Amino acid sequence: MAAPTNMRKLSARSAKEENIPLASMMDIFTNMLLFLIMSYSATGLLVNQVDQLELPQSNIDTSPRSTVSIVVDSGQLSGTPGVYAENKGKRVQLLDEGSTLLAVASGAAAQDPAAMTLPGLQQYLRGVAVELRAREQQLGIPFDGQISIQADAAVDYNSILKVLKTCGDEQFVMTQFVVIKSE
Amino acid sequence: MAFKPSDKRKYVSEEAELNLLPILNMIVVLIPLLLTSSEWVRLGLLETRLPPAAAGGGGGMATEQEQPLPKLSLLVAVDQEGVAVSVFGATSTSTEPGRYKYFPRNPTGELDFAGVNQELLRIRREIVKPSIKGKEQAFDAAGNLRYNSDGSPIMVDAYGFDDAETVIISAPNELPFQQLVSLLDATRRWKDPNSNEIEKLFPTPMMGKIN
Repeated sequence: MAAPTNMRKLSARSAKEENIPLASMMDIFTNMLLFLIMSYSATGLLVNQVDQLELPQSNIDTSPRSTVSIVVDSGQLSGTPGVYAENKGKRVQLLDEGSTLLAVASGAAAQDPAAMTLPGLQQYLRGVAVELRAREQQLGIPFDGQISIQADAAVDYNSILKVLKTCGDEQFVMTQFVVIKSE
Repeated sequence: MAFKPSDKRKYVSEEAELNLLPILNMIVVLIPLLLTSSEWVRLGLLETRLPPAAAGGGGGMATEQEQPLPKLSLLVAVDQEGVAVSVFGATSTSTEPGRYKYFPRNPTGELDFAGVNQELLRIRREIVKPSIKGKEQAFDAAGNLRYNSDGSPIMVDAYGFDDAETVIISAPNELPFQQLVSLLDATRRWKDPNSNEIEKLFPTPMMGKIN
């Protein structure tokens, strides 16, 4: 009987299916899938955290809602302090410069209500309120005066008060600060 | 005549293998989907109210009472040395016991949030809770009655104080926002370290400045 040729040897070898051991990979994937499903939460999709902003930590358990949103930046990370309009996690418009935000009135000027108002933010919110009121009349979506504020952990109390006062003056009375849940 | 060889000898025992490819395909699709759509930093919303001067009209808790209810006037005032907690407008010179307490900063310069939390728990249990008169329908910030999704009214405790759930916060201009948030956490609730049960304290903060 003649010896098999090289071609026959090769074809015989390739005919045997070389099975990759998938069991260990399946184990890894199954563990990953279980972990992801257990820790899955998509509520954060309603609010996007703005870059270069360190939000404060809190033990609050209220989930975020999608509302009118602004950013109050101390400039500690970004280097550009100020108040910004926010949309989908991006600063879309500078409303007030850092010098206006961080200015502290003293003496008689501190008693002047205008010293606690941010003009750029005021103008912006006035426009948004008109828009939301029109939507309320046309579509029946109620204007509830909610506004969410992404404020840097290093922003001072005086700036926070200015933002709150300006929001209140422009009918945004339900102010909510975005925080990172610590528990 | 020779017998035909048994067919049994021709059977070769084969290992039955599960076809894992469909499951693997599904997992490979699911994992990237979950990774991209999951929330890794858990965000929350901390609700606040306007400073008392700008709020106008005392908020939505005002009811059709002929006689205005007494005020608790709970004030948490931060200064350079620490935090003062007072009720009924008491000051450091007040002589009535249990109405004013001062918490100096820790040796590290941190505010004593745990001390403030304990004092507010005492005020809640000893002064506010005994004043509960029953249940009444809740109001929202605009003064409208609140209802559940099924149309039933949302009922809350009716207190003997007009501002039983409100705390007024006062702080120096330079107080960092993180410390303010920690202070608000301390005023909002108390967590039992043993049972982990949570007790509501004063969930409605009003931020202002007391000169």
